[in-house]
Amino acid sequence: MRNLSDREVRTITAIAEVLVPQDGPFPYGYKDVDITGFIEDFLSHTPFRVKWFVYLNLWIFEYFSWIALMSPGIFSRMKFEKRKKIILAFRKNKYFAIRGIYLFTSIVLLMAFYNDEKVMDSIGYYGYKDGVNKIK
Amino acid sequence: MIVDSSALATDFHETADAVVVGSGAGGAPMAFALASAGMKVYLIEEGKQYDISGFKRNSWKVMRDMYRDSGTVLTLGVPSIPLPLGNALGGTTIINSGTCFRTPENVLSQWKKQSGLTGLEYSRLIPHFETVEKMLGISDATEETVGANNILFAEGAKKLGLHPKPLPRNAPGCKGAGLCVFGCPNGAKQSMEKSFIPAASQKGAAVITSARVEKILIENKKAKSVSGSFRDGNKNKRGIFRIDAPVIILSCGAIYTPYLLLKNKLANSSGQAGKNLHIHPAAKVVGLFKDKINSWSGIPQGYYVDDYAHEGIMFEGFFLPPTFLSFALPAFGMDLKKYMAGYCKMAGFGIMVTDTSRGKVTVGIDNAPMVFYSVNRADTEKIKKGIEIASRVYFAAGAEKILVPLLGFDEITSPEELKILHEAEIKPSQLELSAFHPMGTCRMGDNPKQSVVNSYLETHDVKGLYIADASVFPSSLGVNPQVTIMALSLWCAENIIKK
Ligand SMILES: Cc1cc2nc3c(=O)[nH]c(=O)nc-3n(C[C@H](O)[C@H](O)[C@H](O)COP(=O)(O)OP(=O)(O)OC[C@H]3O[C@@H](n4cnc5c(N)ncnc54)[C@H](O)[C@@H]3O)c2cc1C
Ligand code: SF4
Repeated sequence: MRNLSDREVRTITAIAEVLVPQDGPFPYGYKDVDITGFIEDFLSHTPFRVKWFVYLNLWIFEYFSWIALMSPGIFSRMKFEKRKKIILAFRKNKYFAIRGIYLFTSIVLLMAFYNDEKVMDSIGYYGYKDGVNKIK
Repeated sequence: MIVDSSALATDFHETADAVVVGSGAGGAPMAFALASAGMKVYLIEEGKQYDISGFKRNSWKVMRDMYRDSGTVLTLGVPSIPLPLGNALGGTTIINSGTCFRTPENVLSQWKKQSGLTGLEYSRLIPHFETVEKMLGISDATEETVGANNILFAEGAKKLGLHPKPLPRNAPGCKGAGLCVFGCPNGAKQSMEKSFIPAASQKGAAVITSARVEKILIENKKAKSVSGSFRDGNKNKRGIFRIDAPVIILSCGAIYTPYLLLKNKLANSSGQAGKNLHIHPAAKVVGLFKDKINSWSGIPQGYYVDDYAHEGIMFEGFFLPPTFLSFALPAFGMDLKKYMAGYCKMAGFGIMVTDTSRGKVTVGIDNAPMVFYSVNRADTEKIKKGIEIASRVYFAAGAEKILVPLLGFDEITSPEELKILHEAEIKPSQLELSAFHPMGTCRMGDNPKQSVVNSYLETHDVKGLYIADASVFPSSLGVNPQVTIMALSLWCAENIIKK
């Protein structure tokens, strides 16, 4: 059963583009990793209250995150730079509850990205690759 | 005999001499000791039994399956703090770092002063420490296995006149795979499912997994039975059980034991069940270096520095696979990618404080507890001081930059910048912390008005109902708690057997 609606997938992609952009010092970004698939798996293994929290966070991002800049808009339709400013404002917010929304959402998305095999290879992490102990 | 309840065809109703609920640091030694004394014992565990010998780098899958709520347990308060708990055969010990300290003697003296604790002398615990140390093969981490991460910090610490030491650990065949908190794929770490549980089973204890105790029945103020439900792979209910026993030991950990008492409205005439929560708040400091260190290779928690332990500040090594280190760093987007590109040039050390802040556990929604905890000013000061010291150590070791978990001070590029941090007043809301040691929520003491259990860990209110886990600590311990929990559990078992 699918846990995420199309709207939630759009919000996730819009956040992922800011958290793990395509360019940069190693050749992978949000387009190369199945972030939505990871979150689907995450949601099928978490209790109702955690799922509910994920949905709430995505909903707040999509419809109310503009409040951080006082410039109305739907998150997934905003330009990259505006989304980046909003996420920064959430991360540095003096209210812990708002930072908590960033924290929880970023934990799930960053885990999804950095848990990927090719991403781990590209940054030089080889511990237990293919079930074989690569430790000297 | 270890049986997964999903293999049981029918509901069951059994009788026993004792039933132990929870198979972590408290429950497993208890089941072993009682079974060794010839008692008919059931050890009931909500989580499953896992075999991770086929582990393939996917640490997320381990967290998803073995950590409670896939590792998403958080405290509510300022700041909100991730508080991971194990939910598998072996409890939190299967996902812990393997560090093993005896209870500091001065802490036990302070507990006695504060709470009485008739009969509980340090000398009475020594044979139990010895049993634990033998059973778990505890010895100091060796230089060959600690890895460059710990060596680097130790070098910096020595330059500042500090005294780094190898940590005592329960992993005799350790190969330095760096995955202790993901279950140790080498099978070296002697967590409960590798040590006390098979030993208990050999002595005749019946171990039942995927079974959650929900009700505790009492008759005439005496323990009578526990009942609950079996869970399938998705943790859905699929059958019920009941075990009658005159001795019931709760070892569900410092969050779930008080939850069970509160839910059953039991053993709480003192009003203390669920209160006095301590967690040893912990902060991670990351040093960025010019050359490769490969901190992921080697024991993550291999060395410690206790020069400031008298002030309640301990330093212990840490490192994590990229999956988890990524979100512990104070950045996102391109900045985070730049840091992560230098993953192999990072080093990490943790600061853990003996907290005076107190939280509480209450009954929440969705069959789960709620955990409230806010860091007070005094603990904030300790954490700040710890961060400053760890940062100085890293600069002394040659770090180019330091990443600190303090909002507003994310990246420190020189020792001079540390002076700004030193002068600054840090608020609890600026801290970005984690915690791994919940304790104190059913504290022991002689006075039934101020404590939940007596010094033999029997509840003041219900005869035959015992608590043997981290919840009985009267205050924050100051060192990693598993050996204290195990020794207290064996002490409790000794007194049950004598009775
Ligand atoms: C990442 C991490 C690293 C750590 N590293 C160290 C370390 O290096 N050294 C150290 O000393 N400590 C460490 N700790 C802490 C240590 O592991 C715990 O303090 C200790 O395991 C707690 O023991 P306990 O018996 O209180 O609870 P637990 O070990 O958590 O056991 C409780 C068990 O009860 C089960 N349970 C709960 N409710 C029910 C129910 N209703 N029915 C049936 N079963 C139930 C749970 O599933 C669980 O298995 C670490 C913790 C973490 C999270
Ligand atoms: S460092 Fe590796 S081998 Fe050693 S205990 Fe941890 S996971 Fe096991």
